[in-house]
Amino acid sequence: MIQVHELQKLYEQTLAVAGISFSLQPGDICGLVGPNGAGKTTTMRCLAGLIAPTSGQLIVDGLCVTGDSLEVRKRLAYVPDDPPLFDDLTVGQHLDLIGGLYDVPNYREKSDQLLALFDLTAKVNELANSLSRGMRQKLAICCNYLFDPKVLLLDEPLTGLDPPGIRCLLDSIRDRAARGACVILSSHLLAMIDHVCSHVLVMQKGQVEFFGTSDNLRQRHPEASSLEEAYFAAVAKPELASPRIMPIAPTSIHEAFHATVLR
Amino acid sequence: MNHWQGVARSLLAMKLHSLQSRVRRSVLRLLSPKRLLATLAAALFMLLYVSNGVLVILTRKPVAPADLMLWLSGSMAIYALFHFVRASWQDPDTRLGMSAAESLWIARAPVSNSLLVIYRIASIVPSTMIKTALVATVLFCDVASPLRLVIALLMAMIILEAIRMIADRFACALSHSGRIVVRTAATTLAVLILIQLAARTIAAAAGSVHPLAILIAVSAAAGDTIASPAIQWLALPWWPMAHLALAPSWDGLAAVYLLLSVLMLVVAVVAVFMVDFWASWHQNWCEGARLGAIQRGLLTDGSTNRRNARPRKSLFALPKFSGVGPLISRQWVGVVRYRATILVSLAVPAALSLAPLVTSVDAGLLHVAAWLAVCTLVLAPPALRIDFRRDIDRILLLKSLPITPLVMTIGQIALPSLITIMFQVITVAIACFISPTAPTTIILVIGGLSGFAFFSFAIENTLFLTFPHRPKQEGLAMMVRAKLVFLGKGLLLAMLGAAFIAWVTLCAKIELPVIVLIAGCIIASWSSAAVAVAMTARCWRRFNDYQLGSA
Repeated sequence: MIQVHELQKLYEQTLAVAGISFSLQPGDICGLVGPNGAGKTTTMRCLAGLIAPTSGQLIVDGLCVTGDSLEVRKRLAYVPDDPPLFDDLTVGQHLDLIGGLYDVPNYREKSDQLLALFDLTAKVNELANSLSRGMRQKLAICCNYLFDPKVLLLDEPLTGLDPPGIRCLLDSIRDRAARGACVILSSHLLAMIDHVCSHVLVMQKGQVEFFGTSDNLRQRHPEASSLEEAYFAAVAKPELASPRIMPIAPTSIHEAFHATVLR
Repeated sequence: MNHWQGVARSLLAMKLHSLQSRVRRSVLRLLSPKRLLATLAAALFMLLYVSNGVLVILTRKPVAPADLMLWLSGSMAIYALFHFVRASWQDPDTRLGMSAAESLWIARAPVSNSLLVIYRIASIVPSTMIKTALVATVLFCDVASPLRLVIALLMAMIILEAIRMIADRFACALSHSGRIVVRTAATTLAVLILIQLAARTIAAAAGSVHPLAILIAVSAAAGDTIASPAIQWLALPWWPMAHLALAPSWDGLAAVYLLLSVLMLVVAVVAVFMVDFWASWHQNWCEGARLGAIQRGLLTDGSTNRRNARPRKSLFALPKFSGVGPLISRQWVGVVRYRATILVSLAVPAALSLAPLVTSVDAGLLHVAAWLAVCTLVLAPPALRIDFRRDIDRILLLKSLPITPLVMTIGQIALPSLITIMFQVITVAIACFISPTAPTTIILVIGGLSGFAFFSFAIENTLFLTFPHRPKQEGLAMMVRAKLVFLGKGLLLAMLGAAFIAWVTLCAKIELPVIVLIAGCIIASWSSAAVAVAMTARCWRRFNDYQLGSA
């Protein structure tokens, strides 16, 4: 469902992601963990098509993220940390907008169900700027669940949620994965995501420190009794070598134009 | 209904809901007791503006159609050039001016880039219509058909907005060296136009030092400059609209101009789309080239640099002064970062202030001081936004600091005020070099104007803390606010001028020594500054979350 091959992203002179590769299948839930500045959000933003990768291949559901961006966007949802919302729209109007943009059939009915699930029904006519941090997060999740994406990218989704909200979100993630969705969940709350993730991707300084199933990570660090301990064992290494920089093949503007606009 | 129709309908519905919500919020704000004074002032302004428009229409002689045609197209070209200069100096902005929410929910949705460009251009139509209505009111009596004028102006302004988007997107996608080339070219062109304007002003002023005469000379020079062939070549895209606005009737020629105008509009939309595409590609290409250079060892990767020991960047060390020192040190970082912009912003008022010495041999330091006072109150605060206005998103952090309101106010406005004083001193020094002046006059000017600098920034911040707004906030309310503030400042300057003349007359009448005259002026100036700073501190103490939310 997701294939990332030698992804590199350069910001000015800083290589935020230095040639990472991994792949995930439908139904996988991957916990993307790592210290601050490891490149987790950049990886997610590249996958979501919000920023262009400097080099590397990103395939979602058999489609190239940069080339088939419109088709990819229909299949992929991204919830950033502290999602920006339209201050002049109500909760219900946000869902109406997404329903229309993604051409969701019966979106009113589905949005009512999602609002009820995330305890937002009473806020349906409230303006987004009057919502608390956690409620904004819940609304962003509802908006992204509305079009039933095949791939879900959740960047620190638990921040700001109340305990029932966290439980509801984790249950919904499990439920969607069971129905075939592929989920990448970035979080620092390792104890919270421990029992949800089938895979773990540990990043540090733009590189993959570990990628595999949760069981593999525990086998690699048998002394660890939890994901948190395994994570500390995985990242507790001497200073990494300089990021490995992959050779890149430049694309001419004509190739890019043909690939994106004229296809 | 196909997918694209559904998308367009959703976007339209979203915009209408958003507009409805904004109108409702504006009405609530207007009716709020706290803003009653501002509402009444705005209503009064609108009344005056419309009455003035009607009066002008009834009494003014129509401008020659040929001149108006040149001014319409030329002024658009000048604005377009301004957008390029601004874009080349500013930090890269968001794509097509989209908000963070639009970037996440609309640009990331399955919406094609062409539809996204149309959406962005459609988004600016309501505000452009308001601007068109205001300009059309003024030009109503100069044209045969107000309808043609409105249509032409609306299209011209939408094209101008499209060019603003092109300039922003183009500049943000440039490499560092490309940006310098564009910056140099655009700024050189702007400076050449300013030189032309200055030369024409000097010729038109014909030795006069009276501020009104100089203002009339500047207006005449601006008209001549805008109508000059060089500007008119730049204004080529707006020619059809200028001709359409001035067409005598709906004949075949007017239809051709209308058709050409629509064609230019389509070209502008397509150009935004192409530049947006090029910018995305070019940014990616530049990144790839930089990565390639790092790979070949020609550049160093920043992440490697971070691991190397580098000297820690510290704030400029100043004594604490109850907290004023660290606040000024923090502001200094912003000054260093935007030094070029600040320098350019202050160079123009300096040139304007020195203009009387160039236009007339009779002019002296007091004429320069009068212009400096105008610049200090009207031009310096918008140029030096390094006070509370810059910290709208950090207000709660500032509120949490263990600093008294008075100290916070002094810390926030001290640096812009000091920079303004430095600008005043340099201008006065140049003026004294051109036209030697008595030391007592210099003391009077510097002593009085320096207090006035603090006064100006304190007043600006008092207004801001009472009616806060975001840095790039736009709309009708902001336009009315800007006009009201301008009028208020004008009134204030007139009152200060009258008070100064009254004081000088009184001193002359009762034959007080010059030292008393000077001391009186300086004490009055600094006392006003102290009162204004106290007012700002009071506003800061009363500033709350509610005001922040309404900004």
